[in-house]
Amino acid sequence: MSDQTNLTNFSGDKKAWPVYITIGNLPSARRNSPGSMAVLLLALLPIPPKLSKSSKADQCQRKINADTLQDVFGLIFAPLQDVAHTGIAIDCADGKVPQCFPMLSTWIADHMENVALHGLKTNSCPKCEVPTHQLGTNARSHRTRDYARYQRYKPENQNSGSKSDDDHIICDNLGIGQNIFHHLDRVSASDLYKPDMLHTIYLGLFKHMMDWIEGFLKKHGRLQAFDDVWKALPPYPGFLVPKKAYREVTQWQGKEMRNLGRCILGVLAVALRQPGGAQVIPFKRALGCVRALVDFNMMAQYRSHTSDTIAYMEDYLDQFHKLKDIFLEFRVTKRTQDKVDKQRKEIRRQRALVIERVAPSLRRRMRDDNRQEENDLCLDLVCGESHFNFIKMHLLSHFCDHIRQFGNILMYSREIGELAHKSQIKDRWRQSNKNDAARQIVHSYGRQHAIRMRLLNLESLKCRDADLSGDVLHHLDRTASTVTAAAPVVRRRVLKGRREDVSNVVDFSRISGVSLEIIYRELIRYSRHNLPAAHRLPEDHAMLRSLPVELLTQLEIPVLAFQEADVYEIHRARSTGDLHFRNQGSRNDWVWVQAGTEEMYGALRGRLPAKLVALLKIRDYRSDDTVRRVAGVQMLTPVNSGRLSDQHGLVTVQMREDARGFTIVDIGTILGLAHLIQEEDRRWLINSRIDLRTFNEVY
Amino acid sequence: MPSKCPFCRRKYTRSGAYEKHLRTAHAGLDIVLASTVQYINMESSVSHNPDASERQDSDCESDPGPAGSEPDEFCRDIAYESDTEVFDDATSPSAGKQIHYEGAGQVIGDVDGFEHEYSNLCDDPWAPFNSEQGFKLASWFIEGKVSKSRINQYFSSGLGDAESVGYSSMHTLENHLRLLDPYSQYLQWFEGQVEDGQRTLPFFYRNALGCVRYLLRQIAYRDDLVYAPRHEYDSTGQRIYAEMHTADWWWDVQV
Repeated sequence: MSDQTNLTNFSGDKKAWPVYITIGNLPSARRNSPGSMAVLLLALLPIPPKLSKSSKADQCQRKINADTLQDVFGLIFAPLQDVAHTGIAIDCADGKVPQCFPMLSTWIADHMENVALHGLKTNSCPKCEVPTHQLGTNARSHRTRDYARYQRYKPENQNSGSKSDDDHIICDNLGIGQNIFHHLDRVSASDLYKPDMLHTIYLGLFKHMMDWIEGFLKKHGRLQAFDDVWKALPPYPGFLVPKKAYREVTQWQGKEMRNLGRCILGVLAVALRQPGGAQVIPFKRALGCVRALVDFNMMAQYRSHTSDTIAYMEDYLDQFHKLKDIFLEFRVTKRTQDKVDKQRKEIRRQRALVIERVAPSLRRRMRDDNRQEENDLCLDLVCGESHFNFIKMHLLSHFCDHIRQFGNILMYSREIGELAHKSQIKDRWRQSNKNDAARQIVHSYGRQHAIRMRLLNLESLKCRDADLSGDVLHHLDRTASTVTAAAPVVRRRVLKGRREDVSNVVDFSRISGVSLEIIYRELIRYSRHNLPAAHRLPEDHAMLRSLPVELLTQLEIPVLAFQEADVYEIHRARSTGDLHFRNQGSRNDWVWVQAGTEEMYGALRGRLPAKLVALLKIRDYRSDDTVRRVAGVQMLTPVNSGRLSDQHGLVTVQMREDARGFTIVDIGTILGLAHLIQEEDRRWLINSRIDLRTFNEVY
Repeated sequence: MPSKCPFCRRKYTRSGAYEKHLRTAHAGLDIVLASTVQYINMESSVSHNPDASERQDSDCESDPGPAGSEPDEFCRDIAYESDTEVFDDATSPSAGKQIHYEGAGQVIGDVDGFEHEYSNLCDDPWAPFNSEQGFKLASWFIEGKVSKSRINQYFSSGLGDAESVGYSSMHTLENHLRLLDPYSQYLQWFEGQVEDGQRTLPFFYRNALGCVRYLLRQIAYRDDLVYAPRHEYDSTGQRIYAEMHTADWWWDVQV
């Protein structure tokens, strides 16, 4: 039995501090979907006043605030406390009354709130006793925090002068106030912390990493190349195509960062192609580092893990820590920069004195040498001063253990809380008269909640075929879409968007620019390979020409969602020829085509990316009016027989001069959309980090 | 049945007057939002003390709680006092210790009146609204965020047929909505005061245990609830870590 609580501030001048509660007995998909109403507002607290640092009065005030917080949460948790040992009988929806031990198992908050509630200093991990100077390393063996000991420790602190090493660690990390969870029975405070993808990875490490990458690109003069690739990314379901150059984007939020995580490896790989002599090693290391982090991120998103996947994650993390030093010089703080400038000035001054005494003919050469030496010295200083010891770096090391203990990471995402804010707090705030708002907020949500809950309950009765009257069912059917988004399950590929201007093969040839000869040849090849002898298309050109043909622009492909048995995503592959799609240029998407058996094409496992050129329906009136649904594609072939590159771990594909430019395949062999990043004129990289499915299939 | 005020001896027959009395005469007390009236209508005696309501056993509906507590005692319970709480280290759990929950998840009985409630919901799905239309209109008002004055206008200008929907103003609609959720007493709001030396601020909270009861009681979640941890394996026999109940922690605390 467990409770999960979630807490944040919402921004703007007016702030509130909502605390949510839900139960761990519900599976995460159900619990976290906004329509399920399973996240209840537990409390609405005022924000403690913000204080300036270090004045004596404020110090006192801070102590009072900490105590207040402690008492408020004590009050909220009191009901759970009372039943922690004895348990309590709770009515359950199945009509049984089990003995229950409700207990707090999870506290989802951002890092600042976590440290505030745990009574720690900002730069300390709520889970283990890691010293500040080791935050950036990959050591995982630090002792779990024992908050009970901290509590005992406090009073001794004031009178004893001598401190052991142990006490030092505690002292370093303790902030003002106590851990509010510490006194809860049967709750281990160090277990409450849950890793959070949004803040640790997307807004944390990815953001840092982009700073480093930007510095790295600037140093090697590849910034422009990066921007060019960035702007030219093709579309993909769920992927927001960047419209601006990377440097022009001013605001990076969770959504953008997630997008970036899906394409950064490929973009960087293209931007860093063809390194010069001295660049080979650093480029390789940088790509390796980014690759390890991106892969770690992909793995962390899995909904279910086995010990193998967890081991992979640990490997990726080790790899990342091993290679991260390549970016060390870009983690420069202002203080380090000052030091560097000072040193540079000092060296120059000394050099100037020396150089005056040298013959003018030698000066130039000496200056070049000096500059080289100066840069090296500065780099040494920068690398010596900079470090990776920031808290988000360390938090990554808890991901793997967390999965073993508490299951997948996604379900503890902070984003659930953001959704709850929207409906339960922000909308209500807008409706209130802004005066005595808290009361109105808590009041008015109850109404909506009651209505939705009733509908949900009725819906569930309907699923169980309880005898409800006809009008109830009718009503539920109509409201179903607003309350629970039940997507209709489509498992067939569907062709849509017929073009009016094509009625036979000749029209098609005129529009697509593919010569009639090739079309005939391909159609015949297709029918010989794929169709049973009795139902083949006619092989006579005149007959083929007479067959009615429809040209379509969109193919909907149901793709089984990753690690799900019955949830389908729909990929919409478009092939508009030279027509414009939504006024923004034509779209001829990249698709995966099943071209051979598992063992072929290395990592691609029998699948090849292809460009969708045309979608056709051919009605064969000779054999019972059967409709052949085919697609015209341009196949690409893998370079290096489909092996992953040891630099960036992606597969390169190319369009071969000698290969057929136009192939006809059955639409049944089209497996889904592919995401390709153009490297050169006729070469592409397959971006396998675009989604979990591709990530899992191409390696 | 007249409603009796839990804090003094007055009785009221009309809900409006009763609410006004609660608001004005006992303004300093806990304002039990949303569900006060409904709670009182269902049972003649009422418990507003959070401790008392926890002490009640599983069947809150049929079991009348202890009589109303004294107002000043209650205030002491939730009012903030900065230096009264001292925590005893001896009782606090230490991080490494394994604690098992004896009999957790064991079924110890059936819910009284469960079948009854179930069939009630089937027979009269729109209760307390007297018709489907009444419910739908209410739902439309609330989901569409129609303001109170607009709703009153709607009825006063004769746009709606008050007869068939069963309510004729925001006020009567609210009364219906209060009865809509049979478990809303689990979700009562309590009000407390925070004092930080300079200001006194109100804050609102619910009974955490009540929230858990509420969620467990919903028919909508019935088929999804998991009561015990389990091990899951994939086709090659490897342990799967996916949902919370498949991972180790739940095994550690509930065996």
